[in-house]
Amino acid sequence: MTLEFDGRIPIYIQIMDKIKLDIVTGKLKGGEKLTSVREMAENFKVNPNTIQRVYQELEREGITYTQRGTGTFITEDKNIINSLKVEMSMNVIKTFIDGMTNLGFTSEEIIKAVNDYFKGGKANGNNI
Amino acid sequence: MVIIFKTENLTKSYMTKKALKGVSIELEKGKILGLLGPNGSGKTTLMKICAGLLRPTSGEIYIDGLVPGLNTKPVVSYLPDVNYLYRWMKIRDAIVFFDEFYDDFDVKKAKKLLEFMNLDENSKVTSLSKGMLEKLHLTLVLSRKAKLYILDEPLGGVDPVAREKIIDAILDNFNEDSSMIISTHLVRDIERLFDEVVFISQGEFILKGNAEELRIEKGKSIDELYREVFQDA
Amino acid sequence: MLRLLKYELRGKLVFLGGTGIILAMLNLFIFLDCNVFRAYKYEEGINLAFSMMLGFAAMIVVIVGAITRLEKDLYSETGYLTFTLPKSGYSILGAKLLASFIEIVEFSILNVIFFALQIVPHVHISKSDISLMFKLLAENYRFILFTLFMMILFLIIFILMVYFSLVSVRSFSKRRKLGKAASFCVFIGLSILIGFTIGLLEKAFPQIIKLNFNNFNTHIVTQNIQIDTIGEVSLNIAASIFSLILPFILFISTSFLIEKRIDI
Repeated sequence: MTLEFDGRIPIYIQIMDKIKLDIVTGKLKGGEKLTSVREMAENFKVNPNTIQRVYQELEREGITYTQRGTGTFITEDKNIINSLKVEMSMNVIKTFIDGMTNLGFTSEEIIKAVNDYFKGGKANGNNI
Repeated sequence: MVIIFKTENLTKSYMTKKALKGVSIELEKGKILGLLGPNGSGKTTLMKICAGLLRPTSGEIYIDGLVPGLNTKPVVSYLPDVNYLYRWMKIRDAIVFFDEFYDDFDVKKAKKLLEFMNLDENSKVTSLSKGMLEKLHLTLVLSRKAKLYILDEPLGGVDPVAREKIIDAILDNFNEDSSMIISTHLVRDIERLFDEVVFISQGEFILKGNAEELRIEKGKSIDELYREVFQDA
Repeated sequence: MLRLLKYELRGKLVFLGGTGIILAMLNLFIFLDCNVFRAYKYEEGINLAFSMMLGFAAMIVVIVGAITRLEKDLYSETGYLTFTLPKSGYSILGAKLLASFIEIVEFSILNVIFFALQIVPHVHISKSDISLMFKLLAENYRFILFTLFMMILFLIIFILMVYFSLVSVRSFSKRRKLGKAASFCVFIGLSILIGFTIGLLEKAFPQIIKLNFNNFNTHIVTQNIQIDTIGEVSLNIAASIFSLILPFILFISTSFLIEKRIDI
């Protein structure tokens, strides 16, 4: 899987985000073992030193832990995974709010628009 | 932190021009350096000095602590931007040639790479297209287990599909005991490989640093940075 | 160096092989003396003359080949391959020198054979003539060896002078035509210098050594063959020593330039 990288953002950050996303969506389960640096570099088609940095940063943030001789594993700590979810959702929310504000919506209008969106889904017979 | 490549105030002057004007740089073992600049900026000159084909006019250059010469040629694998194989050779002859003269040449790896690149051993070297030649040269160069790989424009004159293969082959060859210097002006496809980059213009290094840090600092991709730096070139 | 030698010879194999075959075929043509040829023949010796010219032409081809062997690596892209090999200047130069030497000797022998082939049908040699020739060869083997040695020495010096001329100029310029012209000038200059030096040495050290190959001079005349041999040769000692050292000086200096000074 060759990610289309945005060259403006450091690659290691983009890969970290992808891994975090996979953890939150459940693609990567808590306790699961990460592939080797080499293999991941080949998968993403990037410099292994970049992946090295990814692993270092993930460990620093507590998202992964290394067991000597066995490998690197995703944390099983539900709190950390939850805060990840929250952290990532905050990014999405921020982007959304920024976009809406840019269109000229006030805070109340934004909330109303969101509610309408959900109601509209029910009115159309969709179970949301 | 082992420094595999180092220059200090390296200069190369000819009677009519100065190709390198006092450049200094260091490269650690296990890192890939992108040498970025337009044609005529001095990239090839620097690389030829590393390969032992040119003598510096002044300044110092060290490869694994040694001055370029008979002692560094066994540990430097150079990919030039010209057709340098003897005209009578077939691909197979080239493989045998490299195997005979370089102790660190891995024939098995070479054959695998040839397959990967879709090259037929029996083809005459003179019958190959530019893209196929580039792939062959790269095969020969990467099949050596060298300490320093010097690739001069490995993507030049090559179609996008071949480019992908070449980048894959380079990546696959990476190991922490050796370093690479890759020169190019086609930055976009390959910038994800670089640990360090240096921008060279008219014989001078005008910007150098870690690729990721430069992305953070400038908020641009290396490709965009290149265009910005060389907009006049 | 032997590996390099193998590749040097192989590089010119097709070209020289073709030349050799053409040489053989043309000689055969002359030899067979066919009717077409006969129409143009107005003198008996013309067979030999043609054969000699052919041999001469072939030698020029081989010698030019020996020159381009180095010239190509110095000025064209193949130099990128040769001069990045982990081989010393001695190896590279030695391989080229040896390859050129072998090729020139090969063609010299071929020429002798073809020339002999042209002579044989036209000259009546009796059995006693042949045994006499062999006897003389056997008795004079030292002189023959001496002559061969001198020829080989001269050939090596010639090739090395050419190579030195080519390499010494290359450090200064990349332009091929200019380089060739300048190399030619250097060659001439070098020849003059060497000749001058030998002259000086002979004047300064006029001592000579006389080599005796036989204790007699021979003069034999039979019905068909006349052979003269000279029993003794005089050599100026200083000049001889110089001539023996010269190839080493040329080889070492050219190798040094190749390994440490040239820019490709």
